[in-house]
Amino acid sequence: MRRYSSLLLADVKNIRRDPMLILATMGPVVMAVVFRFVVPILSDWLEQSMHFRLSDYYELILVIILQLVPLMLGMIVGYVMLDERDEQLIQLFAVTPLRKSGYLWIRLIVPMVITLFFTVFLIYFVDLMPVDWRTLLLFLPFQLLLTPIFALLLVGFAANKVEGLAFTKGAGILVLVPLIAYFVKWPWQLMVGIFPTYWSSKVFFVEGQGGGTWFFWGMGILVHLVLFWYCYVKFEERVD
Amino acid sequence: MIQVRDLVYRYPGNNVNTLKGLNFSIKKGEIFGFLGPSGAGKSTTQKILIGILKNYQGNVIVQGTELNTVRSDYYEKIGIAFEFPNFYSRFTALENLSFFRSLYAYDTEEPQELLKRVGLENHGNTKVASLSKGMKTRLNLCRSLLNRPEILFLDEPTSGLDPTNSRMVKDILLEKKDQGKTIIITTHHMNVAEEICDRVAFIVDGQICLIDSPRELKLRQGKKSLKVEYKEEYMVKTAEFPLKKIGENRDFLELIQKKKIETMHTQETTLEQIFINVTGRSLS
Repeated sequence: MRRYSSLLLADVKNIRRDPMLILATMGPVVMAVVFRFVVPILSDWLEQSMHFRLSDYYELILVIILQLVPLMLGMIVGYVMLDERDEQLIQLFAVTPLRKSGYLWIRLIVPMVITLFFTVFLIYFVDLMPVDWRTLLLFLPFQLLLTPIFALLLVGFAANKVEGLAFTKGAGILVLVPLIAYFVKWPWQLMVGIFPTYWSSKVFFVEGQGGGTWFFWGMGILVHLVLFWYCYVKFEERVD
Repeated sequence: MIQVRDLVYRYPGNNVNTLKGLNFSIKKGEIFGFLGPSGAGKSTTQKILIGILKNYQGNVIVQGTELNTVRSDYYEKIGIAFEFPNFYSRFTALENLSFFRSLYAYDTEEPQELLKRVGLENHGNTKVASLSKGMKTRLNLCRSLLNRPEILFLDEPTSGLDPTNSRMVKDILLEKKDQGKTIIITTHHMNVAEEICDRVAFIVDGQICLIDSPRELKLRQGKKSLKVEYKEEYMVKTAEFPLKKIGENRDFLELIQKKKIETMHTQETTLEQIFINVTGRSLS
């Protein structure tokens, strides 16, 4: 247990000394505050000045906000791991009592727990719309899987932190995928079915309308697991 | 301490074996050196001995246990310093040592004491990113000693060190040997091996060509003669005498009595030369 807490303490120290990571950790907090207070004001203004009801799209906005959480946390973990990979610390952990499995356990499970906490917190704090327990329980596995997928994607594919940054920007596309799931007609929207966020947002939307959820949920879990496995294999190749 | 029999290893996806049947054993309290050019199989052998590569064929028994069955307890007992020093560059030297120390369950060394031993006591609060290559190499040795390991695996332990620090590192290793620790060194620097290794193994193309003590090798493979350089009429001349019964060799005795001797050397060979003779390959 002590060695796990040591690694976590080291992480806090490491993040504190990297300006970019400090900013990144502020991300979810800033996001929560902005959406809590800005969206209602914006909504009122749009309704009064343009007769546009933003509240009709709260479901879409909420999904986008929630999906930013695993992306942001995955990015932070990915950057920490990129540093550790480049300084060959992962190889070293593999030959200490921590082992590579212990290292990965901490690196992937802890951010999943934080993602869980933040997702639930955001739903209630931002308070755009009520989300029932069934929808939440169906949606959470996607959130939890997306964090380690994104972290492993960075370490498995980015040659360095600069490339990692480019990846993060590219991943912005994942956040736009719910727009396609929302506005583009079936079955054309399936074109973005390769992106995990398509399936998770679809589950969120369909669950609200009733029907077809299990197909999207099952496909979503499958896509997430395949991506997780693929990124993990790439990570292993990079680290060995 | 370590017994290796018919060790064969092939990397996944490769068509040829990287290790082609290694046999050797290492005794407790021995300093054992693996020598060989890059790509010969030294690192692969070390990776197997430290338990990273497990799908090997043959037997690798360390302290009575087959290595592919060991668990994390094994890492409590061994210390490893890779050639590339691994540290959090944003942490100070002391912070790094304290962190790595906390990964071990049993008795560990005091980081400050270790720093003192390698002459880095005044750099404990320096960030690793600001340390020179030689300092990092010394810090790397400290890290590998943190858990008071029974077996120490070192890859190029004097890389980037000046002669004084290189001597210090060798002295520390000899001190550890005296305490009964087993040390396995991987290097392509012959002088380290020559000075501190009890035995060396030459690895080329995944096979061990030769195992013996550096002294034995040098004596056996060298010429048993003595070369003398002396001055005669303002010219430097050389003469060579067989070592056998040299005390009764009249020419030799007359030379050292009558001439001004400049140098006198027995003609045992160097490890580097033996390596080239045996393997037909150079080390670099």
